[in-house]
Amino acid sequence: MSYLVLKLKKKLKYRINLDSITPDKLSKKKISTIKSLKINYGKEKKEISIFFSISGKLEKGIIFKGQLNKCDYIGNKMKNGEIIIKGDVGDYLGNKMKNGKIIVHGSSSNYTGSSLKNGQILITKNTGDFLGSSIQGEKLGMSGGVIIIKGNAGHRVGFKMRSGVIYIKKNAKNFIGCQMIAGTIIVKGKVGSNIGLLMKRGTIILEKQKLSSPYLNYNGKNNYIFLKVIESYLKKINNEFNNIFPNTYIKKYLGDITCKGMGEILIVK
Amino acid sequence: MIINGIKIENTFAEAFPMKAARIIITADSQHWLKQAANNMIGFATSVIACGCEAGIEKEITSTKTPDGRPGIAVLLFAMNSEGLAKQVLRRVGQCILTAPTTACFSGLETKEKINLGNAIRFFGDGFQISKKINDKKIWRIPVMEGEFIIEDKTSITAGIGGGNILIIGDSNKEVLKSAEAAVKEMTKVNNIILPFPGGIVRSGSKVGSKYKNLIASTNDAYCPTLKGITKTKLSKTNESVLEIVIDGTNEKDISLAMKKGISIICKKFNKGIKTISAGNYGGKLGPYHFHLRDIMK
Repeated sequence: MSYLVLKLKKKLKYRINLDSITPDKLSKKKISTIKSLKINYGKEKKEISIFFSISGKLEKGIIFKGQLNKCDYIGNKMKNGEIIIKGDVGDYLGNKMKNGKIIVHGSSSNYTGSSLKNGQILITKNTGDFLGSSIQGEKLGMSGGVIIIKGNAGHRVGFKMRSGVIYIKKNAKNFIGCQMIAGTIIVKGKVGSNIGLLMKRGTIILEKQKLSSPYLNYNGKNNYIFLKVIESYLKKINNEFNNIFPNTYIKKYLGDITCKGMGEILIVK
Repeated sequence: MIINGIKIENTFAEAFPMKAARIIITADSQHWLKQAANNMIGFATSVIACGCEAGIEKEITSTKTPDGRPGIAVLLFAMNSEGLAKQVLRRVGQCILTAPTTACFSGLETKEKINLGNAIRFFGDGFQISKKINDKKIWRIPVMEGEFIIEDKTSITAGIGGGNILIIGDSNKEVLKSAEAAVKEMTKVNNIILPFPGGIVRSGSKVGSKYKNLIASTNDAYCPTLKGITKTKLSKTNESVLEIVIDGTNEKDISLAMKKGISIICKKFNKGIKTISAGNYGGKLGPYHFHLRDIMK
């Protein structure tokens, strides 16, 4: 199975919007048609072939090559297939994505997986702020799917998140799970302040974290077998999840009590 | 056909279509696993009076269950999807939810689904929590012990009910012993259950009765104590008949179970057992006919 390869020709001065470049949208198009597609470059519309050399055949998906940190909306509303990015990528990666898989061999910027509906996003390095959150003016963040960050994440991970799983292998900054409605956030490293502020429901799973926020109630220890269940389901999606919860007898905090929230923060170690 | 001195009658077991669900129960210990599973399959011998037929299909190792604990697969059979859904809900709600440390999952993957946790979640009174990973959804229902974990829905599939063999012999003891040995062999087959107590039925029935309201009554043709007054199918020396009923999710495994059961009887009990037969209603009851001689070829 072969890929359509888009290699960035030069360093970009302005941001470009690649929301029309997904495997499902290009599936029936000839390579000549793809080369003449118009994309937004700053305030102008220009042919994609000005910026990218295009080769290969679209069967399994698309490969992007180069430093794409000014390329936004890659995988926007994508329905199927695979996108592989060899380099860093810009904002709104996988925005409202419905299915398929995006793999970034590098870092992603802000709003990665914003309002994600389903599918899988894997970032091998770091990501910016608002991971899996809602975009400005929208009520819901991600409502399904799985996001895996092998490095660190910025502020407001899972802002207004509704469902799905976010897994961060290293650290995350402040306000994770802020205004969370449901879903699961797992952070293996350290986290910043204001965890789960104004969360209504949902689960934030942390390791070795000391919590003393006044808006969280300590709930004691118990055996949470569901961790093993979601681990077994996640393992089928990606091997990264193998044995992520070796212990299920853990501490639980409930909150945000200031907004009558029933969200839970579980401390694994 | 005679195998090792035992006559295999030229007849067939007649079975009928059902709907089946496989429920996987897990628990912290074998003790509570068996308690829960045995309660769930209690009073589920015959669909006529129990609403469903159920039994333990197999034990599952902890590496193969969703929560990494030891498990048991229970198969439930009912006449239709609605009946099955009702029985699953009642039995899971009363026997699994209530049993300490247990959790409950679907053991099949098909397009047709019925509610599992989706109905039982209301017991959580608003404190229940759902977790969805791709197409899998579980419910966490808070209970006094901690949490009860249950999958949202369970798949169901077409099943077959009423496969059977009749073991006819000259001694009560030998017939029971041979039936016990047959059950031991037959339960090794996957995708089948033997829904009656210990897998064995002593009161095989015929359709209808002299009493108006009774849809089934004793199979007098096989009752050794009535040989002198009925159209008996037993010889003068026959003293006892036991039946093994088999429900399964496919014909192949039911046939295999029947073959295994008959084979062990013919191999080890040829002194006390005289005939192996099967129950049928002349082909009018169901479309599945398990011909004994074809199975034993």
